[in-house]
Amino acid sequence: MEKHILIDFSGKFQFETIEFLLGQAKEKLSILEIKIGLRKKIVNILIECLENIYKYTKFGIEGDYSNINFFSKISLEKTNDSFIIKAGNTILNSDIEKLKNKIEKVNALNREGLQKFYQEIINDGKISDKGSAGLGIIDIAMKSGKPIVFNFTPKNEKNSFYEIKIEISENIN
Amino acid sequence: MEQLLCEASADTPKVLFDPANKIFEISGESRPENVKVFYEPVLVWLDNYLAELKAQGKKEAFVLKMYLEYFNSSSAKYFLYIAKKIFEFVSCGIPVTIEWCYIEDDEDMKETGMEMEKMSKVQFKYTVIL
Repeated sequence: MEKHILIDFSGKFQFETIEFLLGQAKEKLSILEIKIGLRKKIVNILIECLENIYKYTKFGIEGDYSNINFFSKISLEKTNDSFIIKAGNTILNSDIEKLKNKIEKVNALNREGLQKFYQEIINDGKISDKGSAGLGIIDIAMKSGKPIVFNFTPKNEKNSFYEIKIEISENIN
Repeated sequence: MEQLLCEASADTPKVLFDPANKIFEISGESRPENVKVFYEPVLVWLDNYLAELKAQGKKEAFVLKMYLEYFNSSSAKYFLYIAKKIFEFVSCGIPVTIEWCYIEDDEDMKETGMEMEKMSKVQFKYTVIL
């Protein structure tokens, strides 16, 4: 299968990293001959993935987290008929259960179920101090129309590396 | 009422609420580092404007134009707060509508507008940008 890498980042993540990587992705996508709707869908999903990394990366214990094992990662690649976004960041082991439950819930819902869940959270959910509304994962699932592939890899007694993979078909909509 | 103006940046939209010239618009890209910090003052301004109109007994119509190129999911939550706030104007007999602009072919943006309309009960007018 032919693969074309549009962005590929691994390193320490700051708010400015979002702007930098989005700029790269928008530029690369604008050269491809794809519909505007698809391009916007990809960028929107990418925004959610980048913000998830920025807002939810957590290290648990004192120590050196500057090595490659704990770097945040994000990539966007184009295959023959779809776009793949892979995102990964370090989280606390204590957050795994909640996150896993949410993604499994979202993956089990059909389109109508996702819309209902979205309405529930957007109407009744609280905005956290960091400014998160808890809608990111639901929004990604609604826009991509496919299950979110996820994985947790233990790193030390406090941390695991959390990775998601999202596929966006070129023929969506 | 003093106008509200926030110039656009790479991650925040332009917000211009200018009652004297009847311009109400939110446009650009919305993914602020903290949505709360960016949008709370916008809601406060709308509250104050509604209080002023009520005090003066004015029921002048206006249109809030929303043309967002990109926005994050937490901004969507604030757009719904804003739309619900607009419904408070409508409930007071002030005819306000929301003009939701989207680029032709951007089905996600159109769908979000329709969801917002349903949830806020405000009348939306859809404008397709070619």
